[in-house]
Amino acid sequence: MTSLVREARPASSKRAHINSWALLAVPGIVMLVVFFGLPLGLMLARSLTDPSPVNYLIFTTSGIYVRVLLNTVLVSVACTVVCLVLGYPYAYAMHRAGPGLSLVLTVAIVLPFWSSALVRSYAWLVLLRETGVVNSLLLNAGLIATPFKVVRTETAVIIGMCHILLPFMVFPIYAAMRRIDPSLLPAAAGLGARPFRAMRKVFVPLSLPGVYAGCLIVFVVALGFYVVPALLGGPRSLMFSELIVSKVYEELEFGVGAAMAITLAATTLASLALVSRFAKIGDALDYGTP
Amino acid sequence: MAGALSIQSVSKAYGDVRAVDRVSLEVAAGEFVTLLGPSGSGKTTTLQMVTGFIEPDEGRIFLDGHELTGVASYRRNIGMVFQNYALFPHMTVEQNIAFPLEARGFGRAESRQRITRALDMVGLTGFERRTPRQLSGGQQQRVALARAIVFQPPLLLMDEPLGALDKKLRDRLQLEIMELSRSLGVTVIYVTHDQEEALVMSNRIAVFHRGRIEQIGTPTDLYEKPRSVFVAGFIGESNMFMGELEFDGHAAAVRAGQWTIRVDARSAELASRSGRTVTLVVRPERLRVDPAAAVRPVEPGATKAATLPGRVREAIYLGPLRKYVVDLADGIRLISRVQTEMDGSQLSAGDEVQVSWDIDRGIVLPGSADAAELYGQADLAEAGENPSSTLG
Amino acid sequence: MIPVRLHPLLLAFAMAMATVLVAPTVIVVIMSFSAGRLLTFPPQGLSLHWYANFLAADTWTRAIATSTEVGIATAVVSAVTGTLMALGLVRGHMRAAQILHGLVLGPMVVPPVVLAIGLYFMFVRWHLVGTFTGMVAAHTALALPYVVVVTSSSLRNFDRTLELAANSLGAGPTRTFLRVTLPLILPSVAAGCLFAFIISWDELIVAYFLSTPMVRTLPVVMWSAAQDSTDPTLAAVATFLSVITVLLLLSSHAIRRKATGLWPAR
Repeated sequence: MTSLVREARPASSKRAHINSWALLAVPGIVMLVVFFGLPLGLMLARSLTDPSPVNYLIFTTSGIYVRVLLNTVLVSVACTVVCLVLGYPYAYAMHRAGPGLSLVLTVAIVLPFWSSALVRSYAWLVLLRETGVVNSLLLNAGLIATPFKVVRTETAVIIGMCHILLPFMVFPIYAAMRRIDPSLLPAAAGLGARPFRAMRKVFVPLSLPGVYAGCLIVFVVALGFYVVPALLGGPRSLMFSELIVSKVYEELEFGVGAAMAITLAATTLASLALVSRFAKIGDALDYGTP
Repeated sequence: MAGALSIQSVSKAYGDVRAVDRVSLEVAAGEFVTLLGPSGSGKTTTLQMVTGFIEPDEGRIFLDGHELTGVASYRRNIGMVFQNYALFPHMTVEQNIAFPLEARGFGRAESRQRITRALDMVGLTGFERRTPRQLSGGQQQRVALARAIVFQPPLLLMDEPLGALDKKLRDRLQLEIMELSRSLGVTVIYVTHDQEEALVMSNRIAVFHRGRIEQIGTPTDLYEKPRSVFVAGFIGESNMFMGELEFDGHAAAVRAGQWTIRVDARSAELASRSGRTVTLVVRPERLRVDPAAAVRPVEPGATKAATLPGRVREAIYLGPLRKYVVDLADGIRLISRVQTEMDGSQLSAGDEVQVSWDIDRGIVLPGSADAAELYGQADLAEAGENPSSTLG
Repeated sequence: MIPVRLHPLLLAFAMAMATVLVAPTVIVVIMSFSAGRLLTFPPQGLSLHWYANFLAADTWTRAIATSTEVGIATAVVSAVTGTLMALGLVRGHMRAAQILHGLVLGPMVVPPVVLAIGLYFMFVRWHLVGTFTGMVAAHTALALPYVVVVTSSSLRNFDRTLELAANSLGAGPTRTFLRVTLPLILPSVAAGCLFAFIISWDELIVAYFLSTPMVRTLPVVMWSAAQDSTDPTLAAVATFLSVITVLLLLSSHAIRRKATGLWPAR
């Protein structure tokens, strides 16, 4: 039966039909080229001509840029690790849960994926600030004497970021878990493997593609975060995108700002290209839509 | 509504592979012709060329004298039923059946009449409002059928439509389809790999093998007078002896392994035109299996082709039939079928027996057959070691 | 996998995580109803006055209007362009398909700040900063990949025998597309439309750069207000933003569920 579909194309004008479908993609292509490709191109041009490629030398002239970039990478790595540690068991629970629980867990993970970073950051702000919910509760309960100072520190930033990034880790891992042949674990058990061993030797290795994809996506998205660090972070926890924004919006140094933006984009794409040899990203993005 | 189809020497190649190789077929109006063959034999590709989903590289196709080649499929006015029914899931049964009528601009009143009649014909009166999801496989296929005939096409094509159904349902629908096509007078081209189905339903069968038609004929022709080893092996079960033909112009015999078997002279003469290597085919119901000890009285006029000693390997009870699998001394395996009622001896596994048949019941065919090639089945690999084998 | 009673530790962990994931927003929602001058949790009284505040202020209501208009426009443009693009990519047999796929995924992958700045530079030159058209165009570029991904996925799962059947029954290419293909992919298109709206509705960074005091979306206004985080009206705004998002998500889910029932098993 598959051969029927494989071969079928309208008899007349085979060539014409191929082209006419393809034409439909043109408006979208134009849209993306003009409002995505072009801005990037222009920015690249600007970074090299406003006034000159010397823009990129800022990384050598002042230590702050390198420090912030490094900090951004470190924070992204930290988030990746936290999300992996928390996300893997969560994905596993989703995978093994019965229908009711599974629904609850899915809803809990899908909602943050779609609500705005701004709203969530604000929520954490309200929770974590000195006059915030957490502190009030702890003070009232007599557990602490003076309020915690979490906001404007790196900790708050990481908490906020992980909160938003967790779905990006859970979805690919969950998708990978679902693809594992369900008869493998019982088969391993039948061959004498104890549950933990079966998990370690059979299940976990098979879920690794999802893990790679999840880690990659979390890392890449974390690199570009702006809202969370800007709202929850302080001067000591500056992330690269914040620096870019201030360069452009406040200091009006467009050339340098452009160079920084290109650098960030390049770093992101490089990480993607490097690791995507091991993982299939497409599935992860596909799954995220509820 | 006539429906005379003429397929003239069509071919279709994919890269180096000739999926269809100079196939020609003339179908008279109202005939039920089955394209039968194993998967990959070209029967489905041929059908797709008649529908218009594929264009042939060479050759032409005509319907009632009008050329179909090069005409888009939606202009060919041919009905088609698919294996997976292809009912539009977002439409009700009524809307599904109305679809071709709308495409042809029929008015509402007439459409409604035709739809009701079509549903009656397939035994689904009153099902208009249902959706495909609410229907069983058999019902869905009936709706697909109704949809394909409601606009009264001269030609109806069916691509293994019953493949997804269970046996009882399949048997019933086979008869329904036959009756329906007869009452409508529509020409039917039916594709299947199930030879039993072909035998039941068809006026004529075209047996496909490697992109070509090996033989076209009525079911009786193909079963009683196969013209090639492939056809003999594909239709029904056969016992086969492969060997050298010895023909002195008068009497003929086939030397297969250690056996010398007498064969019908005329049949041998025909086969010998393609060379000395031949295959002798004996249908299981022609093969007699008697206990070794018993000696049958010689009936006047009947002449035996051979009497071969063997041992019963398995005695299988099939209800109305009993099937004996007999191993000969050199490992050749034969199958015999006896009607249970007529089975006086009632042999069991391990019994020593002798196998015989009448000369004129054996069919001599040119060439030999690679057992594996005929069926591609793993369990025939062992049979491949023997020059003769049983195929069924 | 056959669901099995989860190990109690795992269950506890998962529930705890689920709570932490949902709690912050839920707490803010609850707090937005607090009476009194400050936000407290638990609220000492229930009142809608922060909402009144929110909806009375000109800045907020104008922002809501702008966000809604931009959102709807983005949704429509993305849905149409995205669906056409998905059709072209999936059925066009283009040799450049791989490259185009990369182009489509681009806006999803590149850090939003980078795109925001790039668009800002470009819009300054073309005098599009602070214009409705510019904002819609920018948001469409962001939302398009999602629509394309969702619609292509449903197109790839589409049973093409249905189209062949339609052809064999006498329907030409246009009729087949309008009566068979489109109705069956419409749920995905609708879902994509909703996603595009949500993306535009919640989007901050690009909007931030492209806004002017005259034309500002809701997130942008909320952002400036959030710099001084003590304004309790923000809780009402945040709740409002979230509720709309959740409602749209639920609708999209309902549409998808209705659709999967229709598709024949492959």
